[in-house]
Amino acid sequence: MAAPTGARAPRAAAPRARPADRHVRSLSGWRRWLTMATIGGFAALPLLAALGAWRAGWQPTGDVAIIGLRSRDAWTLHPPLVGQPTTGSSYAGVSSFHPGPAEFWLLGPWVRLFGPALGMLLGAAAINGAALAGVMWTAFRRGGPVLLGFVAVGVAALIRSVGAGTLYDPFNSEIATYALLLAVLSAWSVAAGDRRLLPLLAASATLAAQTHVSGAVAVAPVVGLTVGVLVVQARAGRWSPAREQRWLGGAAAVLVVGWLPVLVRELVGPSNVSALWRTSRAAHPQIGFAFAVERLLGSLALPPLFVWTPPDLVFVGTASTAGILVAALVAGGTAALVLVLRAEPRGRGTGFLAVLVGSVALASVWTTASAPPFSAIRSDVTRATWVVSLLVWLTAAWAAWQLLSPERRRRAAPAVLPVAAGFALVLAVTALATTHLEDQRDGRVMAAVHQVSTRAIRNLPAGSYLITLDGETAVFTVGPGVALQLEDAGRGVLFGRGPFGEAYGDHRTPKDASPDGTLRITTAPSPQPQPGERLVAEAPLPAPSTESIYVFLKP
Amino acid sequence: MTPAPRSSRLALRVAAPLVAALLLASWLLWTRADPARQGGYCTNVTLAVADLLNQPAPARDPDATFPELAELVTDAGGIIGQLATRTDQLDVERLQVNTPPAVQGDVDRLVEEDRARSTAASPQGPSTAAGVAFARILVDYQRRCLYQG
Repeated sequence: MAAPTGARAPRAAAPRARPADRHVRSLSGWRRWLTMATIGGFAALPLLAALGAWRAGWQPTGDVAIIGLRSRDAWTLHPPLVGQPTTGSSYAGVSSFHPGPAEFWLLGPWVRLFGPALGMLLGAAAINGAALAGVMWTAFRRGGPVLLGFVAVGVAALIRSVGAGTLYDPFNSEIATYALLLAVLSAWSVAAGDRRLLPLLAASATLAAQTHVSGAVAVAPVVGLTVGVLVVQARAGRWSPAREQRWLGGAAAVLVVGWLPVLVRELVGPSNVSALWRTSRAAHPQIGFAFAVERLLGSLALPPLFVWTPPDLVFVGTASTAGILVAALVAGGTAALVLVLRAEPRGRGTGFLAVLVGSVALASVWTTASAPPFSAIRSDVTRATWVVSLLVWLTAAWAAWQLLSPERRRRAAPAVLPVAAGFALVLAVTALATTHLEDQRDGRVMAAVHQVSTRAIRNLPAGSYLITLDGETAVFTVGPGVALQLEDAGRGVLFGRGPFGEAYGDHRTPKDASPDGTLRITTAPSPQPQPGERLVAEAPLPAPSTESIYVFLKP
Repeated sequence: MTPAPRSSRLALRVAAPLVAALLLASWLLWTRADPARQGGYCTNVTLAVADLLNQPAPARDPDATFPELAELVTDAGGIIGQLATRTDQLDVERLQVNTPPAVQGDVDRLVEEDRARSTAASPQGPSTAAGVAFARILVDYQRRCLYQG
């Protein structure tokens, strides 16, 4: 039927079929199985890592234990409406939290079903397994087995670099690493016409944005640019929103559900958005742009950051002068490849990937440069740098592949995924084999935390207890872990409304608490019971420490 | 107007991003030549401490184990006491950027000992006085520059 007079037939009205090799069902024989095994393998990898950590005795401590407590609040009458407290609370004079509580709501059922340790491990592994499977599936849909192969090797190298611990670590700075990668790749695909991925983009961007303010800064331009491209494409008649209501509706549903708690918080107050804004404007020491640019360029040099393991928590001053120059050539060369490719019709999509990667890189530089020195220097709060390192090299590799002649690509394509999957498997196994509990955050004290918690539970009658934490180790590491185990065992835990109390939620920091007793958790050397106190649990910290964890009860 | 030849456009597409990236790298190398160009006092002390933690343990104490940087916030593992014994590995130039008056005397002591060490005929270990001075600088740094993350 002819279009009405004067109407321009939307170009998108004619379905833009993806090439045949980008549908799993259209593949045959071993290619189909290898594609499915690659996607499924990355989905299962976090579960394997999590079970290994559980067998090794992993326990939630510190921030992770607080995340566990707040996860227990999800789906209850005390719903978490904000994320973890931010660094800025300590210098801005206002309590601010990371943008949203999505992680708590996702982990909640797991923690309730399997308890704090196994539940948090399985929950975090499920989040990361879904993100990794999404990354692989998106890569396959976008570039067939070849791009899947490139991405599989790159992500496996990334996992080996940051450690398999990131696959199950519920720490809010870590949990969005793979979600950020998925957000960029799905945004690229959506802009290239694969609008079925809109719900995936909404979900990954939501998780990355809510768990940490740096993630929000990183995904904001990605989402903004993609929405801008979609609007321009729709106005140009390249697609019709009316015909893609299913995927638009799916994305809208994800956004409504994911951001509803944040909206409720803004409505009932106090406004966290306002607090975050005031925190961002507050004066504080900043690490500066020289450091941030050095970190970014250093992550691109040879070898790039995502294929090696920097020392401990610190990676600064490791790039030589030659390394900096090589990194500049990598960054400039990648941009040059993309610009050259843009002159050819088949290469236009890669340009948007480069724009997205550039926007995440700029956001990463800005957040690093404006961070307080101690926060900026920690690698676990700057995972975006690893993601950018991978994405820049991935962009370069994909652009270079596209620039090959059709004949060369036709000959090389069948070998890419088998070879890449082999490399990815070796890297993944290496990552699993070289990850040890004692090398991870608080890994060496987890056994002691579990021991003292078990003893405290055995010696404490049912009831609610006001917990006071004495000493830095008790505040930042041990105390939250013990509190989580106590609550999981049916004891009520309450905290004072101090600077760290707000992290535990309002219902655990009541103004007029009437507990059945007060628990003092301390790691002070040879502490003496205060008047009215008795020791209910003790566990030695591992050597070389000569200290122990003590729990005193004052009825 | 005659459009630029295809080869010229191609050259521009290749050259422009490379030149931009090299300019950025040049700026970075310029900042690395002087600690004062990299930031203020907090930035430079942070980088000096990070550099210390990245270095291997001194030869006089090869079995020493050093805690993570994160422990500087709490000094839970006694990191200040351990770092204070390594003033001979410290880049004292970084401590001289916008030095707060409260620690100026301690920084001067470290600079003095560093100069003496560089002109000494035989290798000299760090003195106790320098260790005490550096410990005071780190305690001040905790209060002045560190925040929980």
